[in-house]
Amino acid sequence: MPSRTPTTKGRKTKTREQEKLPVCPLQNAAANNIRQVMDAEGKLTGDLPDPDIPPEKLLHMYETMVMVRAIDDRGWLLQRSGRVEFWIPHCGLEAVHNGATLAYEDPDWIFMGYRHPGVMLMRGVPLVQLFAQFFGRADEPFKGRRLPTLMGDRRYNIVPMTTQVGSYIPHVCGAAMGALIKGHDTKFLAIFGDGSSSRGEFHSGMNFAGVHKPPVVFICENNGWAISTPQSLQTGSATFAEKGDAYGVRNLVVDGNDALAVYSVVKEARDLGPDEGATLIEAMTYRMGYHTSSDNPDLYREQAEVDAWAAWDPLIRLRKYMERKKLWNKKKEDALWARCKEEISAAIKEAEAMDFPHPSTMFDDTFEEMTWMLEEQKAALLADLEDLS
Amino acid sequence: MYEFILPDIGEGISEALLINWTVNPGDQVAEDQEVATISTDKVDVELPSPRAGTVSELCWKPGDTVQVGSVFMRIETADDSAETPTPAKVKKPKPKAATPEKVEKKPGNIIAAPSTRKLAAEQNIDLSSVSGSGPEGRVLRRDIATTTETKSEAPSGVRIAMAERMAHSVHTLAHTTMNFEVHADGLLALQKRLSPAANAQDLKLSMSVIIAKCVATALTRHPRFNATIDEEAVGLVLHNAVNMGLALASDRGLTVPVLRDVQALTLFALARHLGDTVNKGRDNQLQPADFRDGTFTLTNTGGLETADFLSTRPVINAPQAAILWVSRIKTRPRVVNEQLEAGPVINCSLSFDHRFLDGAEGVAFINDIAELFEIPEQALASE
Repeated sequence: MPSRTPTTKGRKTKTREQEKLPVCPLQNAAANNIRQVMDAEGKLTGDLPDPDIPPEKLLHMYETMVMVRAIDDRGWLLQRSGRVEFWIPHCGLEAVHNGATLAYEDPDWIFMGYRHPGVMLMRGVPLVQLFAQFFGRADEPFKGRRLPTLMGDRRYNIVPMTTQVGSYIPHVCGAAMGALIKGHDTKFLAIFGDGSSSRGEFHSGMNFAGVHKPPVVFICENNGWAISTPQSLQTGSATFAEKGDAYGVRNLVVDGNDALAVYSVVKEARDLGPDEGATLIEAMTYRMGYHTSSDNPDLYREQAEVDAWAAWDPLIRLRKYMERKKLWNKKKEDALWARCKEEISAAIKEAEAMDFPHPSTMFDDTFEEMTWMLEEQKAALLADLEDLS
Repeated sequence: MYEFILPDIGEGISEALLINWTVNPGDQVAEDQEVATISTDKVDVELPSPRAGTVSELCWKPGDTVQVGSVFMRIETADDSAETPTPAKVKKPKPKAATPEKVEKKPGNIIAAPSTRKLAAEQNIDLSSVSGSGPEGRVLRRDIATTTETKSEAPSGVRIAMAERMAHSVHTLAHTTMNFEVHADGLLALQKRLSPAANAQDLKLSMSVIIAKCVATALTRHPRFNATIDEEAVGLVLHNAVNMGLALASDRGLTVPVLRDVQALTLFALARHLGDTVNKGRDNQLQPADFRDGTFTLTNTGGLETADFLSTRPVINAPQAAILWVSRIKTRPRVVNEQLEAGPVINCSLSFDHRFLDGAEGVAFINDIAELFEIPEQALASE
């Protein structure tokens, strides 16, 4: 794959300006061995067949993808005006997690990363619950204790995201192994980023998966950047997928901006028989936004690269595909965006009016019975708060 | 009235520079409509409005450094309820079934909350010397407050930025300083000859202008001094344009606005540019762009000196690689034609980062500066 060959070790050379304009690798999917259903115009040109998802499911996925995009647009502004403490953008990544979630059944377990709010919405988590979490309010499952956008909800079989990226890869192996031993036919999905592949847990998990064959699909969402670290400094191998070879784990690369392709390869991997084991899927995509609200990507990446990827926007491609199928039109598109924005505004209003958790609750839920040390700290905090007021 | 509090938009930002407002008092704003651009350590950010309403007050001027947490602007909201950005409402914790056992107080133990202990430590106060006014002799924050009678200076944003940059420079760069003295007859003569023409164009031809022009010419001959340090690449980045930082003292602390392309400007154009910059600096009207992209700094304390300064040790304005200090021109003993006489001299100190620039290069650069100061017409004639 061009431009993926390992460069000389060490730091980035300063010749990027002399290089030609960047090309989105999805444009040459076949040459790059990237599995694909449709091209940038939503035409069926890829090596994978049209999965013919039933219209109702397809529309559910597309509507969720649009909602996910609309949440990102709005969330960013909420952070900039000080209403939300922190924001992790997810623009451009909608096809990977929504396509994958659609390929799974509701009783299956999903270990999500950040940037994946569609996992929650696809499973029916109310929008207001998401915003209550963004606003750090007391009445949401995490009781207002987590960084905004780090989601999850065990009631929906979605394991809350662990901020330590990739740390949950062995956990999903263990959970899947448990299901396998118990004879359940529950399947498991884990989504993590390219940076996670540099952590020990990735390798422990892959090795376990190769040996014991738990029913897991690992999606390595390769969005080009681990904060400011490009792929060329993340790995010496040409793809993240091929790391599976070393562990005897089935692997492939898929167009991560093609929701149909993601759905197809994830569905196939999910439905493998009990002896066929795990699959590592590298979903090639691009983080269009900042790493977080604390980042400034202009310091480390070229706008031309972002522009090259913009032509492969996952929402536009799926919309064009649906238009070709006469399932969609401009009127529906406009109505959908209007509805998403309206629902978001309503959810913001409702969530922002909720109460904050009381500071003393931070000591709760750490032990079944609070230890004397925590009791002492809690008493000290309460006295201190009283003192301050 | 809704008060828009400047948020910490970058995870640990303490202050931001207001670049410009995009609304005026009296304007209608929509929720999430952009109202201002601010600049933090990391990035320039467009701030959206948290509320819809009428702009009632813009509390700061462009160029102001605004502390996170201060009132940024006021908005008359439609319902005009006394909204605050974060509702003060806090959910009441559920009452505990059993109250925790009282913590046994051991003799000699001081009871104080961690934050109180921290406050005491910060102020170097031994807690055992403080009598606590709380229950069971608990030391409270107010007990500490009454113990101390010190007054700390409220630091300005400019001063904080300067403190960080200076400490970084001194701790990282291999500062080397060379001091030298040059006869200043030529500088004074040029100023005298050209001043009438400058005055006729409503310009003041200050000595700083002539010196800046001479130094810019010397820098084009010695491009390794017109450079910034790339710490990551462990090397210098050389610049064609001489963007000369000019250290200005202000009541908010030291600021260093940058004069761009000094090598390409005529003396009079530079005089006009410098005059404008000094006026803007005095009125706190300098924009963030006026401080960026410096390649070398000239610091001239002439206007402040009453004592005789023969040398200083100027601190390099990193990531630049060198800085030149010049004194005012004054009459001092000097040797001319083997004779001791009194005459005008200028004293100079050049600091450079010895990690990347060596002594021989420093001497060669200084030789050219000295030559240009002695015959400053060369600076006007140079290509």
